[in-house]
Amino acid sequence: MKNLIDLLKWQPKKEYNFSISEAHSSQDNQDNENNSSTNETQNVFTSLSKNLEYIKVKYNTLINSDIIIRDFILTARNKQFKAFLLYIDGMVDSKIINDFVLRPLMMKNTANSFEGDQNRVVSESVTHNITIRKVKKFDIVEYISSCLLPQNSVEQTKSFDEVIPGVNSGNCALFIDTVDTVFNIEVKGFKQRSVESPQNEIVIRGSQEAFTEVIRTNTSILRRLINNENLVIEDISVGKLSRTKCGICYMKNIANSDLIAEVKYRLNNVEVDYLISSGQLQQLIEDDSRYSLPQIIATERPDNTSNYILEGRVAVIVNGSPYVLIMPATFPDFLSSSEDINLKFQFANLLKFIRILALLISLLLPGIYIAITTFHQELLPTELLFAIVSSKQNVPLPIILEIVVMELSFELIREASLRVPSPIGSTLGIIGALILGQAAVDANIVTPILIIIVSITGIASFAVPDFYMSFHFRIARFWYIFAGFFAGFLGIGITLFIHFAILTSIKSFGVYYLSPYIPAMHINSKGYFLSPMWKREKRSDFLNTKRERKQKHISMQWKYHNEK
Amino acid sequence: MSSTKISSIQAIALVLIVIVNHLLLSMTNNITSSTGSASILNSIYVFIFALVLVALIVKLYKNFAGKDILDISQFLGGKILKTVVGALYIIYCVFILSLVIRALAKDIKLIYFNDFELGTIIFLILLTSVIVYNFGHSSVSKCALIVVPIMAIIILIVAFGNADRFSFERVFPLLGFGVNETFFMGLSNIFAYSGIGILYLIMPMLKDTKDFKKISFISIIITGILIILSVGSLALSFPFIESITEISELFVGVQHISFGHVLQRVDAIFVLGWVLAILAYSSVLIMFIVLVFSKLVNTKPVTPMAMVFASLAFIFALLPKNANVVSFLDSVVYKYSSIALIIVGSLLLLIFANIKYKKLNKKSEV
Repeated sequence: MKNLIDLLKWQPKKEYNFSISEAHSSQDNQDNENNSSTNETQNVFTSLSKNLEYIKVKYNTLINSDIIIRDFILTARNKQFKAFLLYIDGMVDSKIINDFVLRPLMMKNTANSFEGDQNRVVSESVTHNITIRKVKKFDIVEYISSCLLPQNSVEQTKSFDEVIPGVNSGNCALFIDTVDTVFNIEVKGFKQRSVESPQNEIVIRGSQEAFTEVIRTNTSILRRLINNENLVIEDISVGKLSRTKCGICYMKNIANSDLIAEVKYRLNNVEVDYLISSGQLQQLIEDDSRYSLPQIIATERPDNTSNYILEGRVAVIVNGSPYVLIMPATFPDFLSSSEDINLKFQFANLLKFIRILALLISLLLPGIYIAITTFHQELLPTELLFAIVSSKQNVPLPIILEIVVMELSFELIREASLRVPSPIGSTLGIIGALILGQAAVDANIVTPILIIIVSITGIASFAVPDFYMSFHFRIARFWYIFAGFFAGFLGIGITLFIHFAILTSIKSFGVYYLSPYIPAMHINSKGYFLSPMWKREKRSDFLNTKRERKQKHISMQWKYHNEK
Repeated sequence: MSSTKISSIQAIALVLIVIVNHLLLSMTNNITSSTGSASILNSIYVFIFALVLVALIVKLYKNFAGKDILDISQFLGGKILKTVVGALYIIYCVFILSLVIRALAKDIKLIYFNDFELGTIIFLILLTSVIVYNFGHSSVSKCALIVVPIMAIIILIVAFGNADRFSFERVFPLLGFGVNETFFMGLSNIFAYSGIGILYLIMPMLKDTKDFKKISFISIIITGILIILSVGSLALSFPFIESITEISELFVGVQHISFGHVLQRVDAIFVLGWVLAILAYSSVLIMFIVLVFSKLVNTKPVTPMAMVFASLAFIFALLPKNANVVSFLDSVVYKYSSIALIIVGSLLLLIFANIKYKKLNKKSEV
């Protein structure tokens, strides 16, 4: 009966409601912070069991499924030692471990069963009939390294802090009983994407190779292209937890030493827990992150990167990211394409001129349109003005709303077509642009001329080669629209002037953003427009390189050597 | 607030931006109305005189490399003279800043923005200048460097765009209102070169003080060419009697330019350039006012100072009650204050400082 009453009674809905206990988490955070701040270097123990215990705790082997600890008996000089291998499943090549690590160490063969003198005589001399022998004692570490591990890359270390990053990146660690040294053996064998064609920086005449996610593959491509011993690739780890490997690449005999030092300083002083992509690093090391203007070049093209490195700039490769960062960067760099240097200077300059037009259209056209139609109608030819006025009569929306709605719709279509699967993306673009545009005009929501303005602006924004710079223009365009609406050319003039001030105040790694034009300096070969190939004799003045010339005064020696 | 050294080209741009703005507003009007048909002759004559003046300034500055007019006045008459000269410069700069902005705001309001309050336009311009000042001195001079070529091109377009209206008979009578008005009274048109006042302040900002001579001559030659072209274009296009107009004469010149059927009226483009020029001008003047003030009170130049002086300029710009007062201030007060302080006063100061310098040198040699 009681149960029946209970059943009929109103009962609050029981919902599963999970929340993180704040008190606990703050305590945990504190503990974690303390642990990480007092993280002292732990040396390898001589006792194998202690090392095993340490590793098990460190790697949580009871719950971690892919951490493999392989115990075995190692044979050296006919003596047997307890040992274990530590590696991560999926990160290593099992065949290499079997054939070149376990087999030579475990199986009896001529190398490990050799039982010669335990002590080796290094030198011997006889003085007053007394023989003095300099003897080197048997060293098992050296013996294993030089006789039992047929591997090209084997490092010895005494600290866990040096072993663990190696294991995390695909190496295996060999621990031996009674020995306080660990062998960090390179046996990487994880699956990786092969070198493919660039996806976002497509060229016709240039190389068809792009960077991958693996730092060593990327450095090898650069080594192959630059092919000079002065190319330095320094490794730096960024991120307290992720310890992401970053490679700083520069030409030792060309790049400015202060620039190299500055790049290293900034990378060494990035205090983050983790770093996954070069985009994150770009935001952390750029000079002024208040503005949406990019201050570091990001490229997926090795040929482009090689050109910049040979020019005297510094490149930073981030493991896990196919985009390489190049610094310093100037405004003209973001309007240049990788294709330019492959083309004859006349073709390249025509394209560069078109890009400037695209920049101006993408930034100013909607703002100027709104300013002219609102305040400066006399600028338009009378016929065109009549056409605009008559088409506007049927549209109830104010012009600012009309243009903002259209711009936002365009951004919406662009964003949506990026997110949907690629076969649908193009369909969505066509539906969005053609059908919706036509429908909006037919429904008298917008004027046909506005559709033309927004479409031209959209197309022009795609002609800007750099993705970040294009983004900056997309944002700045709205400022010009509002400025044009509120104060016509006065508003546009004010916005343009503030834009100039921002551009002139920004620096990228010590180089003014508008170099080499403002402040004016020798343009050499690195102005925006290209001079003929034979005339590009010097490196950029603003880079202050150690080697000023990049080709001889007369580079086409085959043509003029007789005249000399 | 960063204050880095500026290059020679930036320094030239600073001098030019001051002159270009006066040229855009009422300078041509003042010259043509005072000399009539002899305005071209007078412009050339005044240009030669300005060249001699600059040569003299360069020569007198030889003993004071790296020093501005405040340092020189301190050398001549101690801290008191320095304070007096500094205060005069600040008052002069705030006065011409407010005058120029008021004149431009009045013109722009008349042409396009009838619904706007005069104060709104003035406020927008001064606010932008303070924002830009916040980016640093280097940024201000670089913005001027970007704007000057744009304005030079616009002035050239105005000068040659009216070529089809040129009538060379308008230069007659050759001596205009007479020899006295053209050569003696007309010498007062040297006020058009009041931009050389920047030369008295720019020395400590230069990367290389040896470039002072080059900067002075290049800026005066470009200024002279622009003035002669503007005055020449207007004098040849319109009878000088027409020159009394409520808005800038150059703007009137622009209104007559058309490029085929498509661009029949380009005034709005001219106004865009004009707005950029005035913004560069006000930023530059605010920068110098703050520099002089910070030197007088021995502090670092900071943005709040720029805000204070911009507010002062805003108040002064709104003080004149009507266009007649503005016109009087522009054609009389500005003209003669420029001659008194920049052309005569500073030059005399420089001459006396040189005499003192030589006397001291002689004494030390003895």
